[in-house]
Amino acid sequence: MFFFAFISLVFSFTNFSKCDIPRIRGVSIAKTSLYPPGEHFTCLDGSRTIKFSQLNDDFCDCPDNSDEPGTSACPGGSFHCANLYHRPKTIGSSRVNDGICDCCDGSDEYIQNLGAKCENTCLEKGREEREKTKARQELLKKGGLIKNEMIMRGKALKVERASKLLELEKRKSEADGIKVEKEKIKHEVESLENEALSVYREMEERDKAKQEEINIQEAENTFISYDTNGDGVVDVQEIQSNLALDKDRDGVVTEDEALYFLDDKETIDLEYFKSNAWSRIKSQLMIKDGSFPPPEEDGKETAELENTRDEEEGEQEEEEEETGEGEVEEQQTTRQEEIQYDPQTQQLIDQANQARNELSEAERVIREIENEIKDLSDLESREYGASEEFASLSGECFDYEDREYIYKLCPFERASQQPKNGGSETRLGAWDKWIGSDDNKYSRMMYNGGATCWNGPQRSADVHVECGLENKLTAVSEPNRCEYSFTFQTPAACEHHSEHHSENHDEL
Amino acid sequence: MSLILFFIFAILQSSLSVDPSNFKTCEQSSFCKRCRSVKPGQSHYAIIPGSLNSYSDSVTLELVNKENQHKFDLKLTGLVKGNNFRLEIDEKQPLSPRYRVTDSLKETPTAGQIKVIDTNEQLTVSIGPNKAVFHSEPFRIDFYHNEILTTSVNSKGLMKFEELRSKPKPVESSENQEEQQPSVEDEPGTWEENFKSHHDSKPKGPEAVALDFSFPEADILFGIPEHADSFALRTTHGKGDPYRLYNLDVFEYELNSRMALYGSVPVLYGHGQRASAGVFWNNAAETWVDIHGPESNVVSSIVKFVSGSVKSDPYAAHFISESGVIDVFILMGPTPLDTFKQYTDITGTVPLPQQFALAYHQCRWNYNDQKDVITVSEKFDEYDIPMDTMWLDIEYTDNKKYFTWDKQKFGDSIEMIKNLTDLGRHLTIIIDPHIKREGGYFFHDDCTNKGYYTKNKDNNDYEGWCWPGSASYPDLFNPEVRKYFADQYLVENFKTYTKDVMIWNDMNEPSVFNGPEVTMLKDNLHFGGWEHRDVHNLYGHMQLVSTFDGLSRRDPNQRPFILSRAHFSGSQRYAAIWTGDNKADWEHLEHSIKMCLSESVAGFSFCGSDVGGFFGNVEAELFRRWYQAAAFQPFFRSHAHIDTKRREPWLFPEETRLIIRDALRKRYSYLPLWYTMFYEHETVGLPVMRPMLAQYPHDKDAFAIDSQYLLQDKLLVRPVMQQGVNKVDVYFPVKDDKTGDLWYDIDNYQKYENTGYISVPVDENKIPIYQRGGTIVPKKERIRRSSPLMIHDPYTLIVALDKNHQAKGTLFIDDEKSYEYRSGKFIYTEFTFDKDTLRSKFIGTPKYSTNSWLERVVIAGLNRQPKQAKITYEGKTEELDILENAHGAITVRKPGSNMAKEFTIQLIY
Repeated sequence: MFFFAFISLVFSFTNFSKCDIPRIRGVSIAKTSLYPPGEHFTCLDGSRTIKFSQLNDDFCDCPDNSDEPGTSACPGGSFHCANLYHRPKTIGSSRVNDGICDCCDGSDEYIQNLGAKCENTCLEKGREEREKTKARQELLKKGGLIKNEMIMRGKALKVERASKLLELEKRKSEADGIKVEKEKIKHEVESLENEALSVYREMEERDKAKQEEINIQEAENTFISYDTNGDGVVDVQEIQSNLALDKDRDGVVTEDEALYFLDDKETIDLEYFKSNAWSRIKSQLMIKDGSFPPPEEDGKETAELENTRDEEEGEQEEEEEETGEGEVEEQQTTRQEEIQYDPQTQQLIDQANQARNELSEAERVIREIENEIKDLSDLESREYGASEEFASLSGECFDYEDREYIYKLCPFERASQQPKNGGSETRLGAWDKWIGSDDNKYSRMMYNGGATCWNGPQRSADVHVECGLENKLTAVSEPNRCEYSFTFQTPAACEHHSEHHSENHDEL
Repeated sequence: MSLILFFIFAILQSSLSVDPSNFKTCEQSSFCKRCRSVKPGQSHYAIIPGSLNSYSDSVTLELVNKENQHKFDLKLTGLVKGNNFRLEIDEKQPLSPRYRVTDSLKETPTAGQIKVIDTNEQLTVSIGPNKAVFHSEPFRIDFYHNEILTTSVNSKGLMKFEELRSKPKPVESSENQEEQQPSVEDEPGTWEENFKSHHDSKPKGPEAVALDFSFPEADILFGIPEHADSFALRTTHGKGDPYRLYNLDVFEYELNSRMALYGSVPVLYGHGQRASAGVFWNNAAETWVDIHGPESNVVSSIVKFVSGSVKSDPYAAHFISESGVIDVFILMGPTPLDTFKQYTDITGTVPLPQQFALAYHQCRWNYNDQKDVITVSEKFDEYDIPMDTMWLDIEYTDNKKYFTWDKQKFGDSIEMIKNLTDLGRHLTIIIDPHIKREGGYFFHDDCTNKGYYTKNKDNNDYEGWCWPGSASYPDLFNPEVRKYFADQYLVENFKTYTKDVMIWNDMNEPSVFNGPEVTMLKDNLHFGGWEHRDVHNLYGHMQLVSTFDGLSRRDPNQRPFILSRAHFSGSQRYAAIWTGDNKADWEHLEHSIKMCLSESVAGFSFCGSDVGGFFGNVEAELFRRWYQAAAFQPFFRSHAHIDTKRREPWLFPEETRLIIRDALRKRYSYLPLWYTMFYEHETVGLPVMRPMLAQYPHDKDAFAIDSQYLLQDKLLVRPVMQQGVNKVDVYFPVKDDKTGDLWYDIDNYQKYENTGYISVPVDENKIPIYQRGGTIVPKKERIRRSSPLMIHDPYTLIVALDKNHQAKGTLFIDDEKSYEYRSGKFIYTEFTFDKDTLRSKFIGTPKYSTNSWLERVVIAGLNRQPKQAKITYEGKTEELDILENAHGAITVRKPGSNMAKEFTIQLIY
């Protein structure tokens, strides 16, 4: 038992070999030439030369593990099994003689007294695999046909989107043209309007100055009339003697009332009277003679006005882009409405208003078109596969039910979860991107930014896309807390071409 | 701003760790408060003169409490093994019997022949080199080993034994008042106690027992796990709460804390350069241990210094238990290893586990379904990482009903198990002791109908809240209930699993979410009428007794593997333990060693921590370092909370995955050493993982080291446990003769000859481990998917030479699975290297045959390079090649001899 079964360790004889050259155990035909018979063997990395008898002698001599292709002696080595009638396979050295049949021809378990009795199952396995491959091919073929339809639909959708985009762009350039035109008209009409209105503005300013002058005069006169003792100041008593200043109409002008009109001063001189007291006194006098509404009502009105303003502002915020300069000017016009313009000026104003309205309408149309273009380019920017095969899934949703939840996948839009026993839907994520490996990009989709978990991250869903004859969500799991894994079958994932060169037998 | 930050920090803190206010302090525990307030030096206990009775193996005496004349029986027994003593004190005539713990003991300790010398002055009882000297008033016993006083009982006079008495009746009339004995007013809490919203009715009133033990020779006290604290015990007297022993499920436990945890092992050691001793306080009620340090009493030490006494007040431990009797084993040493062995002689050792149990375990709360389990197992193969056992936490059950499966997720459990066992792997599933109260669930129906549940004080089934919601707890102190529980493990009863599935008993403190301190009410009632108060720390232990029985009957040819969270003295005979729900941070990694060292000297050699930390997401560097550290700790399992991110090794960047793989492969290569060490642990009783003082008892600088440890006397392990370091300080200890050993880096045989701290560089692959010169370590260097697949693989011997160019070591080989080794079917070999020759010699006659052979011998520490070697076995001689190895070590190429044959390998120059 010392170097037990030396020959059987180094060499293996396969009954099916075409030639009688003994093969080094665990080496594929392709690599046999690297192990030429002789007195010595040089490790494949050239680092050491050992006796040929040390090849496959169950002791690892080469740092690159090349001297023990047929044993488990080198921890990082590999073992080749021929697996005649099936597919050859390369396994790690750690799998050799470990009591588990890893090769269907059983060649990895050649020391019989270690417990593993490996039947040669390659014929059977080969058949099984061929059947499986055949079934798979058939699925891919059938799926491929449907996929082609989906590609057609996808491409049609793309064309549709393109032509729609084209149309929108055409409409937009038309609308841009109209806008330019309207701007020009507005500009022209407004300059005329301005010119006409300037006359009125000057007039108005003159009126204003005159009014002010009258007002001051009136104040001075009143001061003089109030200053009954002529000492150049008005005091409380002098105010109290004017019954017109009986604010609460109780027949007496109280000291408080007097102080109110004197701006809480005992006495005031003319300048102070004009600047601080007159406006109150004048209001009171106007109320008294009925030419001015009482201040309470005035307050109410202002409040209402403010409310309306607030609402307007609210709307303005929502449609920020839609409000142009037109409206602001409109408000001014409303205020000026009291003024009676001459018919010619009025006509100019009307024309200007119309031009402003027409421009803002033109701008609104442009914004609408721009929004449509944005939506469309959003759709366009999502990748729908190499040939648009996934495009027709956009806008559809698919359900999967497990014991507790109904899961929903709306491709290119979102993934969600709803408890079966009622309760609201939880968003698992919104469409982000394709995250498949470089050679198979369209095999996984990522939906993220879903509802945040208690004490955890935002939910997300990783959707594995597989070939199937219909569009179907087939499994949902949560391998990590709040990280969901979906399996979605669709003909769009049936790759027909890449999977049919697997049936070569290099041993035959 | 800073205040806001402080509050945020405070909130974060509170959400990330335990709220200590949910657990009692000594002050809040009336018996602890009463006993701790006893003033030293005023003991009221005395030996009643003339009460001595001497027997061949023991003496009995009567004690009296001079305050109230209450009498006690004392018995001191000499024990055959280790020449130790057992001291028992109980009331002479208690109102009702007091609980005595027996389940902790391996068997009734065998008493040995003692010698009694009773002079007028003092009573001396001796056995072997040890003697006990009694002092009558105040009562005290001094224990000597070879005339060195190592342990003194009641020398501080803190003994308190509360006799059972009737509750004083409220005063009704003045006539009665005169008749009543004048007695000390009972403090509130004496006859009933409230904590938070819980009420303890205390039907028997005060019944505490307390006693102090001084260790005049000790420079360090250690033991009494389980605490998340340093290996060396801290002084607690006058410095906060004592160490608490009360099995509790503490959510996100604090580090550097004396708070109670999941397990309670009341054994404590005192060690000094001249002698080691220990005490095992065999009491299962709530226990506090107050540590008096030499520095705690400055005044008295100054007085002693002035009066010429050199030693200050010695270290002392004041044990305080809520009920039961005083039953103490005095472990007489005189070396640390002697005391450890004396303890396992009494409470037992860890039986040799199956080989797979010493390999790597992959766990998570939870692997979601059977597909998940199989996929994870396959991934380990895909990345060529060895793994032995997949674990399932509570979610595999049908709504937390144990012995059932969630049919949706584990509909074909048998197929899933086969998938694992076909690769040599195993499955371990969780079985907790709380039983869901759901009509139609067989376990609940049976327990209800047969009265198997633990009762509340009114004798109704106790209901608590745990994972299943409303739950009850089988009364595992009832042998019939234990048998019923055990029967459920039989495959004829649990048909949807197989006899290769092993068991994890968790939450067995027991954990009761809505109970006081997250456990059961103390006035609950168990079999025999005992209150839960008397037996609390044994509840988990009794579950292990039952599980072990079940698994043994399920398959008598397979050694059971059980993991438990709760444990008490003796639980090591049934189960491995782990340090519970730790956290993914660096400090918790450090504590994995501190805690397992304490457990190890307390009998629990099979100890580990959740790799990566249970709570929290683990970052790559910590994860790598944790794998590296755990690869050299006895129980090696990765585990994580359900809220953490998945953390299987391949989910980390490649570099991390490869480092983890290397650490795992290293563990697997040392499995023959682990297996041999555990065999020797079972048979010899010494810990596998040892503190430095175990092997270097005279090196004072090494006593308190708990960042490194030894595996037997062979490997020194000092894992990297700090973030971002490129060197660590390794302490190379000093021997009795003041010299050091030689140590060889296991990765490259680099030799270290100096003693003291040496800074060694570490890269991210490095696990600083050193093999001691003078040892021979067996390995298997072929890495398989799982350890059972390695059984036929050849061995490598690593011979590390000492200064005399000698070395020795052992190897144990058997079927790695059954009990056949107990009938001699094993190969136990001793290897010796001397005078350039390696010899193997069997210990006993090998009755086991193996396919394994000797693949290589590495020899480190030779001072010249041999030309070749010669192997002789079975009368044949073969020449062998010598290959150069690193740092002057050599490899003898392929000796090839079968391990069932003795051989000699001679080096030729």
